[in-house]
Amino acid sequence: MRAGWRTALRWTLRLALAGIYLFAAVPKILDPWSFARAIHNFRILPAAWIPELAVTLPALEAIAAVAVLTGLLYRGGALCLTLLSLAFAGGIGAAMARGLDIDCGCFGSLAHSSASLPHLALNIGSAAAGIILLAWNRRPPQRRRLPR
Amino acid sequence: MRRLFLELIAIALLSAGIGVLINAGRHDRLPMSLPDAYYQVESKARPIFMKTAHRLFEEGQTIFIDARPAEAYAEGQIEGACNVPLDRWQALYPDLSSWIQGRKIVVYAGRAEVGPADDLALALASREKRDSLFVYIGGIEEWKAAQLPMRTGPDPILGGDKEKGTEE
Repeated sequence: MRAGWRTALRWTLRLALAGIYLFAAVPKILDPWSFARAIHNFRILPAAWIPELAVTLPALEAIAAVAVLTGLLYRGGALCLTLLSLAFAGGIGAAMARGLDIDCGCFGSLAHSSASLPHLALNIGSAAAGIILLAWNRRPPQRRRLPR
Repeated sequence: MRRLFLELIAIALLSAGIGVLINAGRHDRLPMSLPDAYYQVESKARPIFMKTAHRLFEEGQTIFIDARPAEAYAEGQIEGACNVPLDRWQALYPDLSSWIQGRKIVVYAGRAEVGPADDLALALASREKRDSLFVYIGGIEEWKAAQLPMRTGPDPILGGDKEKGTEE
């Protein structure tokens, strides 16, 4: 019963985490121009890095989400989404601390939303989900057989 | 642990490759260096470069709007562009609105001054659909340097400088 509950929770977290990142990646892949401006709005990274990030970051989100969903490179995908969530939470937190009223670009041009507490909470929640998935997927230490 | 990081690196490399390939296959691919002017556009209009502006010009369905003063416009403008100086846009909008309805709009000024075009785009964005509005960053200097179609003289349609002419 306990194992069944755990499996259900794991699948819920996998679906939620991968779903959020797939939903976020598609509009950014379709419109990297807007995403480049969204990255620039945070005023954290040098302008020279922005186009490369605008092109590769949405692909990274999508592929890591697919990895978590399908189980292929599962742990790498979960770690990747965890690190991305922590980075996004840091960026949003820094923007809020500096009082920047900007479009966070979380979901590309699909939904214009400001860098605010709900988005910070969403990213922290995603990071927590990623950490739980990683922790639950650790291989259990092999038991030594006692000599008979 | 080692395997975990190998998986992470594999995903990162795969993503970088796929991201670059997708961008390379786009007809409006994002260049790997963007001018500062691109980030200065604050209106919700989409900033575009010469290649896209020229494509829209060639399609023939796009309205080009010159946001510079009438004197600068008369010295040379993109062929077929109308003149809507920012300080007169509200007066010209009734004539302009019937003409631009349902069409794509490209607003431009000079290369070194995205501001007027962006401000006009911001004003138009309050009346027009946002996805049909573009700001041409290169402006008239870039268009002229590329020897693309231009004309000189006052605006024959909106007559943005008629009053000016009368004054003189």
